[in-house]
Amino acid sequence: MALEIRHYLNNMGSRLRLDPKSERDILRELYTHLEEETDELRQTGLPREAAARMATERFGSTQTLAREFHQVYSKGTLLQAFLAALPHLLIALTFILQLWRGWHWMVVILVSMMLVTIYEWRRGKPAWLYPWLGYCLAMMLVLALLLWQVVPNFWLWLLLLTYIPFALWLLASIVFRVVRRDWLLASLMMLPLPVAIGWLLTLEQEGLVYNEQGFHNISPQLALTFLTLGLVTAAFIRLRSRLFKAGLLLAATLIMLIVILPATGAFLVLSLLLTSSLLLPKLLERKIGRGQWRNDAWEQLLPEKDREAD
Amino acid sequence: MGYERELLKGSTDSLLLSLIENKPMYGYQLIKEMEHRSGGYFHFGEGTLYPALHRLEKEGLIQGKWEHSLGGQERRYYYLTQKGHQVLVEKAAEWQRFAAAVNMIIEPISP
Repeated sequence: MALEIRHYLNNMGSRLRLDPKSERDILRELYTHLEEETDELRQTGLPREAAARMATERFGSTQTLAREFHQVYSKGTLLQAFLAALPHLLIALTFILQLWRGWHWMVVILVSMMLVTIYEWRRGKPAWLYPWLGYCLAMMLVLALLLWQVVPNFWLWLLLLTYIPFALWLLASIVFRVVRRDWLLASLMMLPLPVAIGWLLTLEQEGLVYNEQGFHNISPQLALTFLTLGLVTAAFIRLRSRLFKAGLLLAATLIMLIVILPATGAFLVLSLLLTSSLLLPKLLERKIGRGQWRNDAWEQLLPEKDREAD
Repeated sequence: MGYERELLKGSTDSLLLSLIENKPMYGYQLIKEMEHRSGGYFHFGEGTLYPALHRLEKEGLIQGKWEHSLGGQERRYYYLTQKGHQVLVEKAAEWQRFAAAVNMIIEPISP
């Protein structure tokens, strides 16, 4: 493969921000086009690299092309918007119908979320999956916080010492991977985390973590919070523009602050949590770079002879 | 030149669907075929073509399949779907009406 083509497609791969299958198909398709056009230009007497450069120039800037592709793929269907909002709506339903009193319902919801997440993560990571993934991560953190509350003994300490580093490692590795794909999806994914922790802190401050009446009293606010998250998520999936998506997440963060703040005294903690869930992915992306294809992994899709650099 | 580009922009979908209707084609082939059949009048920019093809595929009007070309290389061929065929018929009829109306106005009235 000509270096010019490899450089162009690597650059393209880092800008696409789509699901892995779509990215694979696009990069492979562009590659076949560039190779064919380069071969044709070489027949006019141009050297290979010059021909490859001319072929890539005809495609225009990777930034513009990636934006065009993003416009095509970024708007999800109504079904995808519903699927993305579903975990938020299920949690809201739990509080509206007071279903949290029965542990069977909670177990069914949490296990379903985990199974859906694992299945779809392996299948192709569609954009609607990320709120589900966010809940799985929130579950891990809430579990650690709850374990912390239990009267400590030797075995529990041992469990915590093993569990907490594992949970943090898993959280970091998943966040890094999602950020590489698209920091906006990472922000969407992380939205339930500060909300869940915010409410947990509120309940803890009031001494109501294990108090049914406490839960009962703030159920309407909890339901409202998760309904809002559901609506925001559905709108996010339906929007085409990245700018509007980012604006929507910012608006959601402000709404969460307004809804949760009257119930909590942990203003600073909550503000920091919500703001960092929105901004951290963007800052991380600047640090670790974009693109899901580490070490030009997309090239493995090509026939062996095409992978070698000229 | 700008006028041609505007015309092409407004007719991209109809032109692509028409080309694919005759036989399944891949991207590079579509560019060449377009130039050839329009006598060099139209040239699809590469940066315009692929997003347009993927958009048509997402709308269910065409379907892309990886296949081997005659030369043995893998190419993504685009096929017209049933829905694409219906849309093409509608667009072609609309274009005929539009072109006839424009001609009636542009062409000089015979004395």
